[in-house]
Amino acid sequence: MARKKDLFFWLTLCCGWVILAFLLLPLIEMVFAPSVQDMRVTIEDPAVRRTIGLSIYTSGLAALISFALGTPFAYLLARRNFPGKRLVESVVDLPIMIPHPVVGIAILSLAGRNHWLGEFLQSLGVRIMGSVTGIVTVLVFVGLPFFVNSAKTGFEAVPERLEKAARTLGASSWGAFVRVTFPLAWRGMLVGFIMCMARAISEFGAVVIVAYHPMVAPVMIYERFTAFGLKYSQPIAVWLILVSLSLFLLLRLVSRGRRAS
Amino acid sequence: MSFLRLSGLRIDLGEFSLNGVSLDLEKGEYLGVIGPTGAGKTILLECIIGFYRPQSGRVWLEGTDITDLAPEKRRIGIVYQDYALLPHLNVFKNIAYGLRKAKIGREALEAKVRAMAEVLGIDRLLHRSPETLSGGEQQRTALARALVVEPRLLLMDEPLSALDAQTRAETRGLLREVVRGRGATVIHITHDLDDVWALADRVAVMRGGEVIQHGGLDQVFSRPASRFVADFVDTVFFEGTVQSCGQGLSAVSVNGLTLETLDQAVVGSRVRLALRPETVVVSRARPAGVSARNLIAARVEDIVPNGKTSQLILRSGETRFPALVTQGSLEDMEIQKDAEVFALVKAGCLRIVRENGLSR
Repeated sequence: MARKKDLFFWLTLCCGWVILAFLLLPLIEMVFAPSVQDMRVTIEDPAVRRTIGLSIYTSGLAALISFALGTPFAYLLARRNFPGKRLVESVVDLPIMIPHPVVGIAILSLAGRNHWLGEFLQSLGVRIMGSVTGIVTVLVFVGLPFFVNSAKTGFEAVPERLEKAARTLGASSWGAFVRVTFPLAWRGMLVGFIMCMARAISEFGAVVIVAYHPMVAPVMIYERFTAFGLKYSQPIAVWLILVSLSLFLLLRLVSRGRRAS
Repeated sequence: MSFLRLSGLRIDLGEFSLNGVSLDLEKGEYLGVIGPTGAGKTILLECIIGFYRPQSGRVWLEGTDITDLAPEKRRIGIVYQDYALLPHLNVFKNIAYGLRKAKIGREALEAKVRAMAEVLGIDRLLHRSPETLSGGEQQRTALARALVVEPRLLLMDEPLSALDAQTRAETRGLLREVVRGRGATVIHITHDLDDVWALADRVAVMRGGEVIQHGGLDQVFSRPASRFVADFVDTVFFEGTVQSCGQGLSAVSVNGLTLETLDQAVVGSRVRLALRPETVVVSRARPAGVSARNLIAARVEDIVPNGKTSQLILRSGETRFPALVTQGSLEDMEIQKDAEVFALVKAGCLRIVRENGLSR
């Protein structure tokens, strides 16, 4: 029997349509605005290709660093209770709340010559300002919360008893993590990886302060927009969307394939 | 020294604690641990297995202090209520999980897994994912996984409580055959007294992080050390005054009834008599020429069916007491509510429990 649709149902449906239109219309308009010729000319520009490549490289590296550092930390947060845990979790969420130019300024102030850490890094030959290292540092900062939170949720979904059972069967705590927890929580980590990379690839505010050059795609889109107008910035944006979308779809497909196997 | 010795285990985890638990278990013994929720039973197992380190006290196994040993080095197996099977591995790989470090070769490993699966009747399920198994099959897999590594001690945390009544009875039979049959040393936590009766040699009753009584089944069930233990193990108490004592029997007056017990007591003192419902024999006609010292004329006040048995609530004057009879006997004797019956209780089945809680 069909459910009776009351006024409230129509209200929810209307809100849904408004939101979808609000989100999709600008994107659809942007994607279909450039001609095929504009798209071809844009991708033939080596500077554009280099910029999109750098965006993917730096955001991928940021996601990998978040994975390496964030996985053990997320596991700790999922499994242990300790005094101040809530505070630590709030600190992890801080980058989501801070305005991103502020993130860039904060990192620069730490990595500049006026700070002992900046001085120390420079003595080691590590340059943050205007470098790929700087871009990756900023992207890790803004992307890390997304990985840690998603991986933590993944670990929490694996009952601790499974690890305990594995340990009574001779597995060390590391062995139980590798053979039991990791294979069961990898999906949460993959989602975290994708979200972290997606957040990193879209970052503009913090990157533009730390490293205007070498140029990542969002900075180039901004530059082309301010220098030449909408028509010249749109094709790069569309290419960035297409490349990112393909990458994320590929990751999702890989994850689905592994799940099915 | 005994095979397993727990000496003064203390740990405080806030909601749960152990407050000086000491126990000894000999090799091949089967200990049932009972107690209300929050009594500290699971914490006790986790201390023995090494997931919690006691704040004081030691755990000895086969003469070695294992208190500081990592869980994976203790060779103590565990079977959980929720099975804890690894969902990403099939039944074969679950059972073989603990053997992968044993340098026995692939063929020998397969043979061991298959032999254990056959014993537990799951040899046709080896390729299946745990999620596709019934509760009973999952529990058999968990048991096979724990037993195949030949643990020195097997711990079971309410292994049957998630199963339906029929599967529980079948799995209980399997535990008796496989676990008891192998002479394994076992600590089995349960809420079901039937598990204890069917499987255990000894029983420990826990409350508030302490073992308040432990010993042989007869000792604990027939002579509960306190009112709490008696209530927990379904023992019924009568309060009365000792009328006479001599010739190996004491006569106690309970609400006008005179009950005889083998236990000795001071004439005139107030005592409590403990009775277990399954020791009461019920007859429709007045029995003659029987050895039981206590013959009580009673009326059936209520009948409470419980699977294959029924509990008759009998009343004699002001005294109410239960008797456990099989469903078959109930039908054969055509006993219904308000029927007049006779209850027979041997003097040896009525035990005197002291007021201060210690059995005589």
